[in-house]
Amino acid sequence: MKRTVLGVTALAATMAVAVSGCSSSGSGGGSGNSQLSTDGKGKNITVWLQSDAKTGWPAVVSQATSRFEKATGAKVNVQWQQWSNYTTKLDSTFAGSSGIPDVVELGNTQTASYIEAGAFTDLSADKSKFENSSSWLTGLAESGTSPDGKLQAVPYYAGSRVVIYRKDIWNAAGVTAAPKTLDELNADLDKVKAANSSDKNFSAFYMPGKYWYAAMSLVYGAGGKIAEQKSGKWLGALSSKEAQAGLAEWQKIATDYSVGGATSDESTQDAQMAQGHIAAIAGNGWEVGAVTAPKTGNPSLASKLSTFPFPGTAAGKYTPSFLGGSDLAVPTKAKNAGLGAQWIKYYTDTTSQTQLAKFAIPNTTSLLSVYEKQSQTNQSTGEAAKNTWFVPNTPNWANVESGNVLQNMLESIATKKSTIAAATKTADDQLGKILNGTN
Amino acid sequence: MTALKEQPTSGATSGTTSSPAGPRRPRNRRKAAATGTWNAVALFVAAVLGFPIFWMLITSVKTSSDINRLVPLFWPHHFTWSGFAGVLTDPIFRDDLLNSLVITLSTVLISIVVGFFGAMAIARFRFAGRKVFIVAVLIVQMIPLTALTIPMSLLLDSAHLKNTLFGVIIVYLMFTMPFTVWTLRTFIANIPRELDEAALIDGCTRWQVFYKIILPLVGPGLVATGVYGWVLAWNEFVIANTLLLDNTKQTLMVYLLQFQSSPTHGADYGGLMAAATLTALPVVVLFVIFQSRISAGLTAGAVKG
Amino acid sequence: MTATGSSLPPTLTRRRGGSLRRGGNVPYLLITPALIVLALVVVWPLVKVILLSLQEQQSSKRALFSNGGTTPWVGLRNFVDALTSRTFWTVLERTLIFTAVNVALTLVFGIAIAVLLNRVSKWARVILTAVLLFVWAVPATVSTQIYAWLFNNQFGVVNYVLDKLPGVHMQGHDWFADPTQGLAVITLVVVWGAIPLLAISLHAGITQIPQDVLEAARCDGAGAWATFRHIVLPFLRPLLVILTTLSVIWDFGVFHQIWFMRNGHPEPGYQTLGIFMYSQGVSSSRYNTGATLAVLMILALLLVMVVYVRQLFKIGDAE
Repeated sequence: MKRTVLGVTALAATMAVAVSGCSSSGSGGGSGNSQLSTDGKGKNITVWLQSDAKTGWPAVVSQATSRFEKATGAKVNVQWQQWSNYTTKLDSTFAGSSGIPDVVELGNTQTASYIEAGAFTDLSADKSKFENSSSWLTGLAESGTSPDGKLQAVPYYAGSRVVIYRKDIWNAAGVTAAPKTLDELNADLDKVKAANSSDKNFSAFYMPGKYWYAAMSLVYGAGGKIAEQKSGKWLGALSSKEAQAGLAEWQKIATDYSVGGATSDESTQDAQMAQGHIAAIAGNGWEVGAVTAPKTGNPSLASKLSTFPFPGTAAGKYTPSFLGGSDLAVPTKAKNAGLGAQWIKYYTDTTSQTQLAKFAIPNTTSLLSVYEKQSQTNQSTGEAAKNTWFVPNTPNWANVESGNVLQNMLESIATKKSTIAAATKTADDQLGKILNGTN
Repeated sequence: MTALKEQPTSGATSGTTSSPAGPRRPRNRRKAAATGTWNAVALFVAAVLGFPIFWMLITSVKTSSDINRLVPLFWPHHFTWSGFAGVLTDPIFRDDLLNSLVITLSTVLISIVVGFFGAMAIARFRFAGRKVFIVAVLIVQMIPLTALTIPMSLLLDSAHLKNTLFGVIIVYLMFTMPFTVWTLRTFIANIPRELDEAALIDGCTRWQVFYKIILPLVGPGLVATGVYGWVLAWNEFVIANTLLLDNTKQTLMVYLLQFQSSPTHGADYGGLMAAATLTALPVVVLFVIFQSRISAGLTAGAVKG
Repeated sequence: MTATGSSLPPTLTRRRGGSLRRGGNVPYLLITPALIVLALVVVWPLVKVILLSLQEQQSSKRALFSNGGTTPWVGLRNFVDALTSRTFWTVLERTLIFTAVNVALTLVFGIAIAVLLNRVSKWARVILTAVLLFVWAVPATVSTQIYAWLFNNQFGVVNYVLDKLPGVHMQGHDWFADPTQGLAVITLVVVWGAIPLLAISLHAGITQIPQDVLEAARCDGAGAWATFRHIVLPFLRPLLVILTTLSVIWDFGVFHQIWFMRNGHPEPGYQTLGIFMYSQGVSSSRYNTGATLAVLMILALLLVMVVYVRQLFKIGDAE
């Protein structure tokens, strides 16, 4: 099944490349003019990348850069960024006129608000020249496209969440096969919990009370959604029957199987799992490494961890995973926009993404198989990446995140300070106001 | 400095004081006992206040699996120096240390010089606009810095000072200088004016009065405000992160961010605590260096009215 | 400083007597550098903040990126919006209580430790000062992380130690489930971080007290408390007024400790004005709303401090 899907997409990709080969003989198709430039003699471009690349895949950056430099004659100056306070830095930089980078990396939930503000160069005319653009991961591609269909940010890489569990603890409790449905998961967790009842700090499944990516996955898995647009107006949808059912399942995990995390977020779950009192978490693929790395976790767990995609309401139907990831864009005010776009082209082409696929989910379905071959974890996360959900794609979404609307709702559900019905009602009111910009 | 200098009041150790010990001698034994009690209290206070620092230090040498244990480890099973080694061998740390030093030293020196003049004016002179100046300095302190990020950024942008250490120094003056004015004013006001006047009569110039009388006497205040300015500028994060765009120009506070968790890696707490320890050390070292200089120029006798 | 009773030794009264000199141009020359700095970095940004607060908050960042663009002026509407929201008043009330508690605790412990520093042997002073300095030198971001560990519900040292006490069951107690308890922990971080400045400055102030004044008091048979109340405290008052003023300002706008203790997601019960302004205005790129709240913060502070400002003038006039 999987193979066929990939085969088809790969075929589609080749066709797309072939078609674009014909049409790009002129100044590029679509609206507007091509932005790509190769005239870089004596010029310097500045690229802002998050330090994920610096710690994770510096070689991918340097090979793309050297190919770019050879082709254009320009020099690339990569400046590593940190996520903390990043939007304030972007805002203040874009508001001014100096120090504007030629390429920026953004989180895919942040992109929409900058696209709407006209912060990025329209790359629509060059879309076909970006390799694999026809097979880009849908979630990422949508986040980089404006509501009127213009390409303003190019998909970079993605991540998806799976269940990371302690094989040894589960086996000792008599659970040897990965659960296929949520009911099976609950039954297995009951067994794991019962087998470890003597440990008061034991979590069969650690689910922090502010972990909204995991909670919303269950909402989408139950057929609900965060918000929906009806005749141009956004309405919060968390109090729908389906969404509440998903949240009820989440609450069961967070209160019955999880100890001590009701007021925490997910940022410390790996360090905690490394301490040995947690039998499962919902996490990104890289978190397996975080639990077992000497600097951030406990290396002795390396052989004891395994993963499986979060099961869904029925067998063969996974709970959709949040498709987190990053986009790359060229700021409107960039001095060397054409060269910036050209660098993105090199950094997201098949050569670069094939190398990147060793470390993260690449931007195209055509390279998923490369990613999945790396490890058992990658196989699960690759599988999970095929069924994903994404936040309401509107510029105001960033304010829902900064306003902690979902975290506050979830914490009150996890601590049982309010009922699911009451908490979702409050959240829906806030969602409506914020998404429509009337707050 | 002042904190460490010989105190006539501290009885038991008053060997170097200039004040005659005569009237106190009969009480010395009781005083010594009292001092012993106070010393014990001081040790207890130091232990309580210092516990989080102790925790920072031992965390920096703990292996990752010894951090966050259910039964807290008050002494690590295994010491690891990899946190410190990683930080000390990182060329970016050295760059950032240098940037932090340049920014902080300049901020402190400028704010002390500028603030000292301002403090002299309001402590020693009456002039029209004095109250306005006092209130202006106070209000500046009230502006929440985070609200100024964007306006500051635009201001430096139009002055072509964005992404420069100098631009950040100017912004930091905004919150170190008013404090310096305020605090030094108090310390200057506490110096008897008769001292300046006597010196003027003795033929000193105004500059000499300032340099030879007032400056040494406000030494403790200078150090207190200097260290204060140092700590604020050294630890500021939002402005540095927003206005310094190049990696080669960022400060240690921005450097500390990389130890936090990100979408593709976990938090390195050992590294964070090691880096934080190395970031805090310069302040402590600085203070120790200053104290020997300052207390030399500060004699108990000179303070007598 | 005017509290110079006749019982005080002549040196102290003499010092306080007399009025400020008129210095012709000298004072103006002296304040010029400070004025330049203020004009340079404060006036324009402050004007910009006020202008921003008078412009419409649009949902888009477009105006920001096009130099203000065509954002309409809305007069005081942003202020009306802020002041008519219930949240604002809840947050303001919480901020006032938080500030009062924090400032009071900071002052009490700061003075006590300053006096203690003056009482102890040199070696003890060196140790205590070194600890104070280390406390001072640790960035708020890091100290907050350390306290978050100490008060962690599962791995925290505090719960572990308290649980060892007979009759106390603290295992797994979540300090942050109830915002009152959580803010109490945050108060601990704030006060802990603020004590060094007060203790060290006040101790520096104590060392300026003329020794003969203290000797005289002691000869007169004044006890430790009487000496403290009638000599040390009046002498320190100008410094105390300033340190109190500044503590009020800082604790009123406290940000890092709350923000990092809640890992960047402060719940509604943890919102003080500094946090409220940041999350409503800065981190959500709603800079007009943020500017409005910043102006309101300054005004609220000025109101709170009216008493202190008058006190400051008195001090200024008396000398």
